[in-house]
Amino acid sequence: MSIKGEETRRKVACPSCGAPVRFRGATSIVSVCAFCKSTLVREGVKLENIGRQAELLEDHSPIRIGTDGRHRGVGFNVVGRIQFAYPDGAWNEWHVLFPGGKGAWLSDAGREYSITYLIPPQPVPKFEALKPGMQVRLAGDKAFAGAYSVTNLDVGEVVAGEGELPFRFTAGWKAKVADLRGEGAGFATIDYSEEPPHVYVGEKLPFDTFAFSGLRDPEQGGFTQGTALAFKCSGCGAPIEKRLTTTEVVACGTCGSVTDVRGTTGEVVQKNEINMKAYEPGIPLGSIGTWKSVRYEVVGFMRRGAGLYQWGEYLLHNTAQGYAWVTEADGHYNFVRAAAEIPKEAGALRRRPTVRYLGRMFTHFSQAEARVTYLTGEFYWRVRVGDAATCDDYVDPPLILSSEQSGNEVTWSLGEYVAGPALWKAFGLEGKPPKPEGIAPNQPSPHKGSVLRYWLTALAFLVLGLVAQLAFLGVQAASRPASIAFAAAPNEPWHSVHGPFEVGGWSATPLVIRTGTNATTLWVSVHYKLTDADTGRAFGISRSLGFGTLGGVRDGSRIDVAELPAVPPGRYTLTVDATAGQAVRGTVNLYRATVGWSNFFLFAGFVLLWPLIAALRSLGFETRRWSESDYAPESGDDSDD
Amino acid sequence: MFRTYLVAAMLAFGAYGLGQYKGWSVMPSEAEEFQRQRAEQRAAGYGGRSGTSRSGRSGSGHK
Repeated sequence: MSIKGEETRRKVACPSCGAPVRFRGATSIVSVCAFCKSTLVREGVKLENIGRQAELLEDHSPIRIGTDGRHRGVGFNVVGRIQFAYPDGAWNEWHVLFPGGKGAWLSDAGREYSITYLIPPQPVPKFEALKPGMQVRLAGDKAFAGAYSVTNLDVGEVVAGEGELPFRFTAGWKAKVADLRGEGAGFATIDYSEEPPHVYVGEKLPFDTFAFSGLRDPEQGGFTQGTALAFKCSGCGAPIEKRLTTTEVVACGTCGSVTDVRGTTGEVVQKNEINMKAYEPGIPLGSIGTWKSVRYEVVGFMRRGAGLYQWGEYLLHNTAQGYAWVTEADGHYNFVRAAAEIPKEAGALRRRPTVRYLGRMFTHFSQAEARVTYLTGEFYWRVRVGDAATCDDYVDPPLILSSEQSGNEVTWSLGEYVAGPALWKAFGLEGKPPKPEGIAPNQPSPHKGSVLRYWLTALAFLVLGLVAQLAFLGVQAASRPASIAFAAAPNEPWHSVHGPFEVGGWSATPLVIRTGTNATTLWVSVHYKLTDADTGRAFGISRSLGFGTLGGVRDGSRIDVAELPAVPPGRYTLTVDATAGQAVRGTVNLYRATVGWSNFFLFAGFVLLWPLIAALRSLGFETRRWSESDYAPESGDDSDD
Repeated sequence: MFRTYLVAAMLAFGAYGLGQYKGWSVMPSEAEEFQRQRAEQRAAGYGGRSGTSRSGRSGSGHK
């Protein structure tokens, strides 16, 4: 890459073996001879050999000296490494150079990668005053200044180094180191081995974002090396294997005893008897599967529990991508990876605590003190049966965000709900996965999304129905003839013919004949004949209105409303024949009978019923989900006597 | 399920349109409503007369 041409290049001969040794970085002070491992220190033009480096621990890190990568669009080149050991494992700090000779540190800790840059010294709390979760504010450039949360406190010991490094070091040199997470991918490390402490800031990023090239043995494809170191179980003497160089302990599949396999002889970590074959993992150790384009091998399994609630955790490994987990509880599975950033508290006023992570809001589900109850396989930290951690789960289905606090460490992980059959298929497992029972905290609701879809569809149909209804009403009210007047005198029948006039509508529907009179005392009889002016088809109806006395009771009405059924639209004439016992005047109105809104309301009710049922089912699903949380409504039948 | 809903809603819309077209209604028509009101008035008129004539309603004469 181009920076190789730009950087300061100084090639010298190793005083010990004569092999060429380079100091490519202007800030590189130490260079370890790749052949004889002599540690050469540059002071001006002088070169001092301060001795041979110890052997590095083989950890199969995918990075090597010469690897190229990018950070924020700028290329870098890996020129050196310091390997640290700490009580629970080892990690690498790769020294990288950017164009112009600017240096940075690329950390590979359990295949979690962060890149950090040294910033000017500033006051920071003492190492002993730090606690996991504690907030530390870093000052300086706005690109990194802000609040950071302590995630890990450890004392690391230098194992050895290689390549070019910007300071002197010796094997066994100890450094108190605090890791902190900031906003987003923000990451910081405070190295307390110097005074004042060195503060490094940068980002913790997924492996792929570095766009590495020139990685070590890329053809490996992320697999276990195929070679294994043989040990004897420190509990029962059964043969056990260490297949990953990052493995710290192996839990015997026979007796469950935990053996430290960091050295050449297995040392007992914990003798177990109680968990012998206590649980048979559904996914056998050694299973290999591809999940989201990354091939993983199942290397360990543990069972954990909080009270009656038990779940299983499978440890997966890929050489480049590092470790991942598959969790299983009651037939529900999650694929879990370390969180890319520390979630931020949000929504303090909400009923349930929430955190924000990568733009999504997660709601607190439960807190539990989880203990390891069963172990088998390889683990990259010194795990024991009985190890406890405080676990907090936050959910935003299908995701679950979990924090675990134990000792001096807080870790966050992000899980995604996985259907058992998909997992079985990915790992080529025979048979069927266990049938899920109940509802998992982050199980995606089969109703979510569909409820909104139902409502939107119902709304669309309602709008359609409303438009149709208005159209129907408009057409029904159309083309009604003007009022027709008639008058009748005693003993003088009235006969009149009116029209032709248009009767509107689109089909043979009822036609209303509304008659109004000024009758006050006697009955009026009216006969109407509606005749189609074109076809001659006639519709007749006789009506009586007015008043009469029957049994001493006066009864009647000045108006009358009648209906002619099924009158087709067309041109009509109306013949009115009226007889009355008194002089009376009247008017008659003809118009289409309107169905009104009843059919529309029936239709609307039917259309709205479905989203209502969907909403109730969704509510029921969520109620069942949250009934298992810390926020379950109080049960009414759990009275304690 | 959602497809079923779509189909059912479309059928319901068709049924609604057919009902409107044919003039079908579960509610009484204007003429039926008028007749109902007239019948009520008639019953009230006769009922009121007979009610007052039955002294039993006032609580006397039926001991």
